[in-house]
Amino acid sequence: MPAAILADAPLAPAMPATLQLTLCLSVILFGIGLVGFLTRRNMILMFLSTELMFQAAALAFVAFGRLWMDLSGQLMVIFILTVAAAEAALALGLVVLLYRRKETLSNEAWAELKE
Amino acid sequence: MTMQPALLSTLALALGDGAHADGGHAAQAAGYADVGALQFAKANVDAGYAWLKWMLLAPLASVALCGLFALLKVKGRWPAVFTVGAFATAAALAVSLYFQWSPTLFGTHAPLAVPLADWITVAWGDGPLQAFSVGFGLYVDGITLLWMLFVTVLATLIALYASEYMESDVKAGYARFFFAVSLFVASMLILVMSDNLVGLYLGWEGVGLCSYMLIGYYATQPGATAAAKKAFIMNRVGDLGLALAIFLIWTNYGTVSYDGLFQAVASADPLSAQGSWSKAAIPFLLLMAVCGKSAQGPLFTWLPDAMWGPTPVSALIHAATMVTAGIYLLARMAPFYTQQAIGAEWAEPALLTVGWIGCITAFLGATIACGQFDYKRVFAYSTISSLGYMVMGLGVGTAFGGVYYVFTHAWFKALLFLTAGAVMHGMAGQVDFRKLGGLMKVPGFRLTMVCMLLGCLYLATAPFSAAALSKDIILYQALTSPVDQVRWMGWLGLLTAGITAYYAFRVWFRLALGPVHIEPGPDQHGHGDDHHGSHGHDAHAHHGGHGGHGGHGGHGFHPHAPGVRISLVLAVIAVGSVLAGLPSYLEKSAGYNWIQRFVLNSTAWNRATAGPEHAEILGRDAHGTLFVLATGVVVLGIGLAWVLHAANRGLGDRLRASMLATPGLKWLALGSEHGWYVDQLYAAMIGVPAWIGAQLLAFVDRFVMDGVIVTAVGRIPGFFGRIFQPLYTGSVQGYALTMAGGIGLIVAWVVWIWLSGGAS
Amino acid sequence: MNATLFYAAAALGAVVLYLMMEQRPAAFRAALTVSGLAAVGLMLNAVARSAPAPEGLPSPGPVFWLHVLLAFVAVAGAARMVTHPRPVYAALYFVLVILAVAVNFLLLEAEFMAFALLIVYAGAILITYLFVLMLAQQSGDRATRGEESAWYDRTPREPVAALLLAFVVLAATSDALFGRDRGTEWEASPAMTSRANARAWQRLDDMPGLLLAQAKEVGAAADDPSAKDAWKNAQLGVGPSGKRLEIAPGGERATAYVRVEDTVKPVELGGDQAPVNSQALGHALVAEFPVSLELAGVILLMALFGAVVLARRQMEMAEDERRAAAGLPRIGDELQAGRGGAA
Repeated sequence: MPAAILADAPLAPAMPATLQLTLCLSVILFGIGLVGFLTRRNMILMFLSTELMFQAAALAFVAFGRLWMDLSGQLMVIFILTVAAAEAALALGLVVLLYRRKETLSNEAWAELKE
Repeated sequence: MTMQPALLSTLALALGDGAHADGGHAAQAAGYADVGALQFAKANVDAGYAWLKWMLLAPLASVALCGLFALLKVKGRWPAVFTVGAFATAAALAVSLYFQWSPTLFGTHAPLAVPLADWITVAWGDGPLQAFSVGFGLYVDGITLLWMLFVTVLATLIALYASEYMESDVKAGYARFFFAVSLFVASMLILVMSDNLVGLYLGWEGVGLCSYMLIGYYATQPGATAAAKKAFIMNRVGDLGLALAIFLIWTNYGTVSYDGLFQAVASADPLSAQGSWSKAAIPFLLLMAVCGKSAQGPLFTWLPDAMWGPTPVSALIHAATMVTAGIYLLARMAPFYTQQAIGAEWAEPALLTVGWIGCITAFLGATIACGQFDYKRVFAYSTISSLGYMVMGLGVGTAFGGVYYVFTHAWFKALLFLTAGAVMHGMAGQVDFRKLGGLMKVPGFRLTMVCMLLGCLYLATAPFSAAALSKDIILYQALTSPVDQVRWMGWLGLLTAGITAYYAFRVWFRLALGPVHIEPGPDQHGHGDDHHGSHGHDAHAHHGGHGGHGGHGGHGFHPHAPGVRISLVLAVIAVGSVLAGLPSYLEKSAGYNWIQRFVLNSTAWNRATAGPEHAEILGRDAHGTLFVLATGVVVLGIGLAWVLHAANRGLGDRLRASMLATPGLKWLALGSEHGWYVDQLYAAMIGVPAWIGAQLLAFVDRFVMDGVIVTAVGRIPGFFGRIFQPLYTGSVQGYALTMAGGIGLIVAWVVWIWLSGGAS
Repeated sequence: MNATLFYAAAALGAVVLYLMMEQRPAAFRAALTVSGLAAVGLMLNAVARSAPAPEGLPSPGPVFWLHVLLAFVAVAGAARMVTHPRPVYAALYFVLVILAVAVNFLLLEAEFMAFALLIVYAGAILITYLFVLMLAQQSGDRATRGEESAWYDRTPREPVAALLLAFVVLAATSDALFGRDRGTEWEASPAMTSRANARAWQRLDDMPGLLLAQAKEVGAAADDPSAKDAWKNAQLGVGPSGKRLEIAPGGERATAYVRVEDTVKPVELGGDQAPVNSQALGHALVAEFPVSLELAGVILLMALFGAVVLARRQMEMAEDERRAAAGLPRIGDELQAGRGGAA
């Protein structure tokens, strides 16, 4: 087994325990984000919770990238960030328009797609 | 009708040796069920007689032309011309065949087989019973030829009669009528001339169909349509028997063509038929068919109702031709009633069944006829009774007697119906003879009445008449039979003969004698408007010989005497009836009986007997005793009729009234009038359960099917919809929750079940 | 991982979260905070306790505990974000979460990502969210009920179902990740290490400028000071094997070949000379994922277009008719008039 390069070098393998902590954190954040998405009635906060889920996913990507010493994890996060930004812009634009219609940010105001 | 014993033995010798010169047959002593070994001559296939197909094609051409006329609603008398022409052609061909070929037949005993076309050829396997092929061909033997002759001649004459009788319908259903009549005769000829059972069945069904069409000819009268349906349905019941019989014949013998079939029957091992239910069932099923078609046994009630049809129809179909198809079937299938074919266990019961059914039907018909006031219905019941005699004849073992009686009966029954038709036609449809009288004295009706007298004499089997000569063969065979039951049939038949004489002359005395009394009828031609509209003017295009036709009731009714065509036909048929006895009259000089020669050269030749030579009835010589007994009952019958209806005209009615008043005898009179309530019995037996079943089913349909099932099924989508309805809140998060729930389930399933290889 | 403990702790956390969703008195809130953090701690414990400890690696040091601290902070921030009745505060708590995650990234040696996260997420996206929140703020029912937040921010929507669902998802995912016999590789195999090392050196080779700079630096330092000028003008050369950079087996070291004044000299490069995170990431973006890069640009362009379209003036239906009825000029006329003259 080759001697690992110095621990503070970018190519040093990570400790399993650390990584597992990170992943656990990622999973918990994702769960909390899911809860927020499903329980908050404010449209903007709903989107914010989805952003939280994005965060969790990004964290997981980076963690696994670190584990397997592959830069693809971080690259994925770059793209996630890009998409999240684009989506946030458009989503907020739409939310503003919706707010203008009904003067409220509540989800319940838009329950018109029903029988 | 006495036959000299010596002559009879000469006859037997002549027939025994001369007619069967090829030595293959032996003169058969007519055993009752056992006629010994069966032998049939193989048919002579000769395509040179293919011109016989014109006997079928001519009526069919007439069918096509009349049909065209009917479709295009062309008025005019052309349909009658076509029909009479076609029938005359067929008759001419039949006569020419007789002269051309019958010597060969009588010499070789070999029937003529003329293949015409292939019809059905199917094979569904390789085994012997897995292929079925019938062709369309002609098979002419003795009985076929006989039927061909009298059917075509009578059809021609009756068609000529009908062309005048149906005059008033020229604007309406004339073409339709002749279409059906032509089709009928075509079917009848197919029936008798076909060379296999399937062709027979085709003709059988065809005549049933035409009977339906013609009975219901006056379609606007509900009684007529009901009668047509009744006739058709009862025929159908019989047809079931015929179909089953044909199936069983095929499974047992492998062929339905007569030629092969009878050879197979002849060569079948008699022991193989023992205990074989399918072979034993054949004669009974055939009897069922006969009952349906010839109005016997339990299926006779359609024939009186068939009088709703026009009288020529009654004459042609229900007297002379269609109803004799059953007798034809029995004669053709006579080998199946022998011991060799169906085994000793069932042969005699089969024959006895046939005989009893015929006998009892004859008796029933006669008793009912005594209580009818509609003279057409009297003749209808007399037809039933006569057919019963014919069936009985075949049942007691003399096909000769049955066939001979068919021949004579066709003539005089047609005559009777035609005269009845003439009277009806002239009396504006009056069918109740209580309202008519003294017609002999009415100008223009004398010929009709004389013909009717002749017919009634024949019906009553007056001594030396053709009818008596033929019917007495049957009675002779029955009374001299070694089997007890058969003798009882004979005695009952004798009694029936007396009753027949009584009711026949009851009709004639009431109609012909006495003071002139005419109450016109409602004009049952079916289109009363025509006559209603003609009040007061004589502008009917009638041919000469009578006065104009006036109105009814208070207008001074003038009976409409029969015209030339009707009178001509009546005269010809009357002469024909007399001449129908020629075979017996000329027996001495010719050395043989013309009719018997036909039967001897057919499949029923084992039964072409006139009865044992030296036999005894009541301890005396059979021939003489029978003559005395038969004449005696006839004279008694006519005498009774004279007393009750001619000498003291009202005596019959008063007797009846007193019978009705007497509680014990009331049922006798009423029962006889109502046909012993057989119709009502059937209605109760079949109609009531059917009605109950129908009500039940209607209930089920309405409440269970419609109410429960259909409604329930209809509610299912709504039910399921309402289950899922609460999910459609319209709220985004609600949908997101359910979506996320689904995803969660999937994730859980994937992780815990799928990835773990099925184990949680 | 210790599944029972994990699920129990998760259940506890769910209960805490549920209780946090309503307004609570201060003491209760403190208790909830403590128990929430305890739950998180237990979960982390359940996961990390059974982690394999490969040889040659140091035991949990300060970095480990830093991770734990960051986890606490992140989860606390997230929980509060999800339950806070006032939206702006929720957004701010989200910023806290972002910060925690960014520091986490730093610990995972993804420096570029950490700062990119801060700049883009916290600096742009969250600012946008805050703007919109403040614009669309409702004043709440202060007058009637003394509340400072709108009813729809206070009351959660079917929290039990959501928590249950999240619990199921969490349980399944964690089981997939951490469960025994799941086949997750928690250790990098030696082959993986050497491949990763080779990749890093390959990147350096793909960046000749950087390679030259690094080689010059190391070579000049290793050589005597008199050759400093020569080293200054050195160029990349080709080694005996035909490559300018040779990777030693195992990938820990590499040899660069520099031509100094017509002689090719090998220069030993070590881990310090390997490209750092930003350089590597930049190279990877362009060299390995150029199409994705372009597409990301296109997505942003689309988002830009979309935002412009959405921000245009929205007309209500039949507004023209209403304006005409009110005697006002039509919208189009107004604009045209604004341009200074009738059309």
